[in-house]
Amino acid sequence: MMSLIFDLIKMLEFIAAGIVAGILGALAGLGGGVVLTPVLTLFLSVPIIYATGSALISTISTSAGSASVYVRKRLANDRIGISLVTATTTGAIVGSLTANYVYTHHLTWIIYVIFGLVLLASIIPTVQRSTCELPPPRNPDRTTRAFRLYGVCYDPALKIWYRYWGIRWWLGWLIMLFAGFISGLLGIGSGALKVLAMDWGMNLPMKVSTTTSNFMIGVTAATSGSLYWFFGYISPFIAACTAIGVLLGSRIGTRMLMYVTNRQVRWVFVAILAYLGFRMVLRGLGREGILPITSMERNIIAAVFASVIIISLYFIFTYKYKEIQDITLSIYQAQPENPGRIELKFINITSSLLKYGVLISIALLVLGSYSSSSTVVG
Amino acid sequence: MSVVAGDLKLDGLSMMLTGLLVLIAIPVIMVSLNLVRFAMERDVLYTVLAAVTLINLFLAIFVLPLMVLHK
Repeated sequence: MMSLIFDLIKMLEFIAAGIVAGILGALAGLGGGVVLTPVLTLFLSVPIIYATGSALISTISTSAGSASVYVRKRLANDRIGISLVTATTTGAIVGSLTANYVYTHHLTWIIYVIFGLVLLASIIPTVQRSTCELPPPRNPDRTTRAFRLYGVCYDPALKIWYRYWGIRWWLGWLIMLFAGFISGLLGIGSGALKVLAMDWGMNLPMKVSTTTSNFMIGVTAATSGSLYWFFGYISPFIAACTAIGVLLGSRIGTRMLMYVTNRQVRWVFVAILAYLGFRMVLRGLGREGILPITSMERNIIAAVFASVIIISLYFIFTYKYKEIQDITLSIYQAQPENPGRIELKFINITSSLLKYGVLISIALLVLGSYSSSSTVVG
Repeated sequence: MSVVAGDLKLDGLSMMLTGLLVLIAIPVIMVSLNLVRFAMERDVLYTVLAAVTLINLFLAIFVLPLMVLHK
């Protein structure tokens, strides 16, 4: 009886951790997976191997869920997605093999430190996102023509359709290779890096970058996820519970985001992420005795560092935002394109595949985790 | 009683594993669908790119685990 209660509590604990991570991630504009790993390791003392494995699984479910909407509305550019996903999957394979090497050679502290640094670095593009929507137009180059990186997108604020194109495909590809490596190494979607590759590298509009990266994250996470599975880094019970939680949490988070009209409030969530990032770095350093401090001291140091970083970022970006506002952007207006017959058919198939696939797998996970936690008797 | 409990417990685990398998299969099917689509549109470059992605996925799912496990 005791163990039954214990298992149910564990299950609820993991689901709650997932919900918290999902809400935090959605409100700060990051994936749930990158928040889930710190929550699991720092507060529920799950070994980081299993935390990253679970984060990968929940990353697939959330990205597939939202990608189904983006594909149907044709917000994600599937051509750009497929052309770059070749890089992320290659990187993910190398990254997962590196992760396996690191774990088998007892260098786990490196993962903590890199994870913390990546979490801190991914805050900057998140903050920047609120400042500027459209990139300054640049002329199409050779790769634009070779890979036909054109598309049209609707801007709800200006109420017009506009034409966009990607440039410097090779630069995007190289950053994607690195994004895939990080994704495999740390077991995250590394959406922030993907957005950087498309937004900064390829000069694509923010909306296209974020939706297309969502489309790619699922494929990348499936590559590293299957390797993690074979290395034995995915604990089915933790992965199932947290995937359910993160999916619920990110739904709640996106709902809440509609009511949070005040942009300043988002800084609070970004600050929590910065705190988690510093805690991860300190945890990694403390693990090998490089930085011999108690957990209380770690808390204080992380909180101080996080507040310093966030306050300085806040001032930098509010200052910068005032400057950008005056620049008028020239937009290439266009007519909405009608998709071809074949394309339309496949968009519908892909969208429903994503939607019902996630539903089926989540139903199986809920049933499985419930029956496995409630039938363990003494 | 304990047999029934054990059976149900195993069932729960296998259900969870099936759920996880479905989740990993979704992107693979999505890329395959795109491959078929580009092939039907006679888009050689993108058919090749989708094929490369699919090869990477199959490497991760079937080939590399075998190599790692039998090392």
